[in-house]
Amino acid sequence: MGRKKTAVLFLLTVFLTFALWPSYAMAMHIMEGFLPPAWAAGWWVVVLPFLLYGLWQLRRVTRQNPRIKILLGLAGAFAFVLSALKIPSVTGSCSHPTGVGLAAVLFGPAATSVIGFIVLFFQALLLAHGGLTTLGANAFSMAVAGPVVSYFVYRLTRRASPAVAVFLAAMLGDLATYLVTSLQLALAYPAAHGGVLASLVKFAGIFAVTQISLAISEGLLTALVFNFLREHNRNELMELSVISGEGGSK
Amino acid sequence: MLNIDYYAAHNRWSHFSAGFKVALSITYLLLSLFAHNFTIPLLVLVTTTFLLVAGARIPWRFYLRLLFLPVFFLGSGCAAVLFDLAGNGSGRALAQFSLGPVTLVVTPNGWETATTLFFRSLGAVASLYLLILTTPVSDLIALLRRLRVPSLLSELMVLTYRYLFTLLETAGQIYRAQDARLGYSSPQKGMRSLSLLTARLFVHTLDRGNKLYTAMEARGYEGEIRFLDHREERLPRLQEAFYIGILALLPVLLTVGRLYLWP
Repeated sequence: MGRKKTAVLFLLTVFLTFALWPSYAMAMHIMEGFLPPAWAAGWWVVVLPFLLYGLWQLRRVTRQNPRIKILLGLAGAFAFVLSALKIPSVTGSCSHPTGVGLAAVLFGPAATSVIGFIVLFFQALLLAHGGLTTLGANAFSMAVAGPVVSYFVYRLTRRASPAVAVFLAAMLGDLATYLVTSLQLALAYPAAHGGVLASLVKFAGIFAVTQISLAISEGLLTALVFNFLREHNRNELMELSVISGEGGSK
Repeated sequence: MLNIDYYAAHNRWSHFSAGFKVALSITYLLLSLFAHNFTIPLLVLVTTTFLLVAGARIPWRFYLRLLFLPVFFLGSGCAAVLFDLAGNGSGRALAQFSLGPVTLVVTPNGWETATTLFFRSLGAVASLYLLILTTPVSDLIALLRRLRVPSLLSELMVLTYRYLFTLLETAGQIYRAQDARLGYSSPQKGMRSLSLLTARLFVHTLDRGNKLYTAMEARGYEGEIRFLDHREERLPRLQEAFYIGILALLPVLLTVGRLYLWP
């Protein structure tokens, strides 16, 4: 038993080293090959209707205003660059912002599903973050679930205070992404005792190390970004309301 | 930063037909994904590594570094599968470990799942690298267009890919300017600097987009971006034979696997 205990201790040390290594703390992309084929395909099936709805919605908007298409393409590039930046985390380490909250509030959930999908596709191709078979699962957590939560939190709370609304939207959007990803992993790998729920506790517990501080940092960052934009770039924000389908267009 | 993009365009395989490379990597990907133990994924890992390093001439140091990239996710993900929280009904345990109030156990089942998962993911990642390290993104998007992906999606992809590099450059310039003025000397300052960077970059992006629109409108843009599909050249005989040889190896591998490795 003693030898096995040493082995376990060793494994745990290795794991903790990786978990606390600042440069590895990144958004939760499920890597290529980590999901069994059935789950990988299943999440593709789940995410496709959202993607098609987003495309349908955008096709309508871009037909009325061809300029929007160009802006959306560049928004995708912007979101990609944002996810490549390093954000100082509250625990002192660094991680990459997801841009989930910012995109959802700026462009609305329909456009964000399409932009998010494209960004995840390029992250797999150019940065090897995430993968192609797991793109469906990742798109569901990061381009659909997170942004939808962000968007509705923002809509519900912005009357009280815009800054707090943006903070909450970005933070809760990140937390939703993190929980959905943990759930996706737990569903694919239920624990022998206690099933999916026990497995969810394990995955969520392991990723909590990086994800909770990231959510708070990103909430702060997004709120600050919005303050700057509201102070100096009101016109640009008004322009975007056409895409998110809010106020301005009507 | 975007080394993968550089090697995708500068390797011995980059001008080969994208359709073939996609088919090849997807075959390898599925092969490791559907494996039930670690032997086939390991074979896939060895084969794709050979094809990348000896065939496409990707520097092996770079390739190795890339293989270590998902180590955080792989390590923590496999750990979550490997360890079980001890409960009342726990069966035989290979090892157990107390961590304060919780006891973690390794069951034979968990051990098997975790090792298979580890190698399956590595094999799959290597297959993905076989695609992304040999195929330029523009070729992939052209392929998607031929596969009748909605045109709006492929158009947005082209725009995103086109502007990703300029915006990265701009973000880098702003970052260096801020860093040189001690903008990132403390976490609080870093947060402020980064939010300024993001806000400026966003406005810059909109500005670039509007200018691009004006430029395109002046050249007849009416809402649809048209592309000249470049025809892919037919491969030389020798390379074609080489490819078919590789593909022919797959059923052999599978048969060997069925007979000896998958009980």
